[in-house]
Amino acid sequence: MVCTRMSEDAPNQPVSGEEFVRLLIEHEPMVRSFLRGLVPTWTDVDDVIQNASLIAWRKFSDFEPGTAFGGWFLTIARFEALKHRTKMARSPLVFVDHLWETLAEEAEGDSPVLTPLLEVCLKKLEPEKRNLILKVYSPGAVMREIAPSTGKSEQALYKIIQRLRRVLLECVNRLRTETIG
Amino acid sequence: MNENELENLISAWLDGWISQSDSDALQQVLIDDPKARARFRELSSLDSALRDLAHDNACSGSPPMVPSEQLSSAQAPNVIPTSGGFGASTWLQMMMVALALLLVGGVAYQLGRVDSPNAAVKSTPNLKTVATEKTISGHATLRHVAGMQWSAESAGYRQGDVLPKGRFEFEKGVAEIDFFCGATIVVEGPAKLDLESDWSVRLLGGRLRANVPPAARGFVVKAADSEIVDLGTEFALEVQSDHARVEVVDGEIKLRGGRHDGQHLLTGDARSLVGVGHENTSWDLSKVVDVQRREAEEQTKRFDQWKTAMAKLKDDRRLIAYYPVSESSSGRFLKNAAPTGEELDGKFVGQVNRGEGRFGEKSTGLGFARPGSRVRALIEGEFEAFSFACWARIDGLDHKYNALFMSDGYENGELHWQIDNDGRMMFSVMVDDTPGAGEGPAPDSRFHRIYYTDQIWDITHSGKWIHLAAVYDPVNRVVQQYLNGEQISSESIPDRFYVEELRIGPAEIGNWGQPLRKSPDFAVRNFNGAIDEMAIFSEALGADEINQLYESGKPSGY
Repeated sequence: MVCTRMSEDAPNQPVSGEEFVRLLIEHEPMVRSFLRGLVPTWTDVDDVIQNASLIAWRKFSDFEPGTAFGGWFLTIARFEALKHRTKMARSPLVFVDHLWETLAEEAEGDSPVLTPLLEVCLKKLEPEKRNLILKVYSPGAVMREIAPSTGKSEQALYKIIQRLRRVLLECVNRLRTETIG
Repeated sequence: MNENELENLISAWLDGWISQSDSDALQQVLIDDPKARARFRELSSLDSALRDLAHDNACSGSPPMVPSEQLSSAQAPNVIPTSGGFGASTWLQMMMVALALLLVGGVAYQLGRVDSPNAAVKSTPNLKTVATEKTISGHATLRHVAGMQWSAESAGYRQGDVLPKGRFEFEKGVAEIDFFCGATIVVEGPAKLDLESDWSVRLLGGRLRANVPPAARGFVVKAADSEIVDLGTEFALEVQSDHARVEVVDGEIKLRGGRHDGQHLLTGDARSLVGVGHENTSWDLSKVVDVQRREAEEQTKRFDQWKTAMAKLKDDRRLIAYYPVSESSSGRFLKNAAPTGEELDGKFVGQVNRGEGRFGEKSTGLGFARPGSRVRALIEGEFEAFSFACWARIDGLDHKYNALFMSDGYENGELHWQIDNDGRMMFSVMVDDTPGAGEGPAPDSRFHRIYYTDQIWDITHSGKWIHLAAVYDPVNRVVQQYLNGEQISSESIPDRFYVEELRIGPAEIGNWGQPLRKSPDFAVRNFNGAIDEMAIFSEALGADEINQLYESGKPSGY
């Protein structure tokens, strides 16, 4: 890692620091969602965001206020994701480099799943199903662990979650079209 | 592939349980089909949004905070402000703490990598030096292995390797892994684990014993939905498909998450983290000493096999000289084991150490750690070709050139075999030693040619034994070099560099002697590491023969 000196490369004024944190918090979910399809696990996503944030902070003086922070940060994150890829051990979760690159290029044009829309769609689910999917996605959850408490086998649970994801995605896409249209 | 099949595969990928063959199929359809990629991106984006929402749901009510134990009180403000935002993860909070410090203190704090919670913030007084410092990526060292058989889907590692972040899987054997934080785990195969950081590992299957000294307190082993935080000394853990169980061998642990969240366990306490407990689990786990004993036994066996091969090689009539260090266990001489006899014995000069060899304690290698260290021999005669081979353990390439075997005067037909500072092997023969005949920038440069390999060594290989060979074959006009029995370079000898008569003359192993020089200064080229089994042949050995030398001499675990 090339270490650079903070005081030279990053803005010193407190106001820039606060601004940076504000922008970062605002755009993190979007970048996180973008990265999810580019690296194999959530731990990798966290690592990449972390590095990308540090780099963004160092380069923050290059950022032009008024332009899109999200796009600027996304470019940095994308580069970090590809760099991260080269350090990973082989696993079925890891695809070949050129596929990652294609996915990254195409993902930049995507509109991310809008959280407010997803919230609406979650509310439309039966409470039992809604709780189940939130449980599966809660921090540190492991499906194998959750399965026994639902009275289902691990494989059955995977299927249920897969189906719920499809339902939610259909709902979000429908709402999006309605909202835009 | 229809939509349903595609979605099954993407789901399996997202949930982390896809098989290699399914992953290959998914990869192919993603490469071929833009629509499949669009679906993949859509689902992974949803996956992300769901995680954010579920995180908020789980954490609502209590503002996310960095646990105070993760930051020293001198550096951390009491309250970490997080102005809303969903899914603000721990790293982001740390980032903000770090920024808050920057802003408040107005001091140039260095934002360190936040891989481990304890490294969130550090001040680096000497930033200029840090800027050019070499870094290696990794979290642990594979200290000992025994009976190791890596699974087909995992990259193989050898004893002494630095282990990077990521998945490791082996079918058989036992591995002792030292984390950089000071914790040691002994893992028994079949096992699957994810190295996460200097401070954390996830056991996905298999059995381990963790030993945590005071300096590594807080080391975390994850299993299923629980985290085992070691508060000192030792515990055992088993993870199978239907159950996971932990037992404190000695000391104290804390469980975080899962069904025993928050519990402290003391010596003798055991808990099932998943599934039904097997109350009388007989652990019978390997300890560090067991791994080392098994490894030593395997090395002894390899050592004995090599000795048989060595006894046979000694009679090879093509040998000019052969110096297996184990043949001269004491005194200041290195015995020439080849039929050419004791005339060619080497003499120790300066501090030459008999240290541990590649088969462990029972074997020996020669160390040349001081600038004056060397083994000298006089090898007269003219030869038609050269083959050089040896085992070497490079601890560091400290000098511009680091000597393996060097003719003193480097006169016509004489050779130099060395490794440069960038880790490239070099073999060269003097063509015309008349000062000024050379093509180099110096006015008195002499005419010779250096045959280089690509880089074969960097600091991550420090301390590991490797087999090196160089074949100089004027008859076929080719120079071939080998690493661990594999040919890594083959270069033809241009006509103008052709030398018919090869010589060695007075020469040295592990350094370059220049007794004929007129000034008191001498070039520093001593080899930092150890050398064993230097073998010099008067003919060009074939690739299969070099490979045979490697195979019969390699230690266990190669």
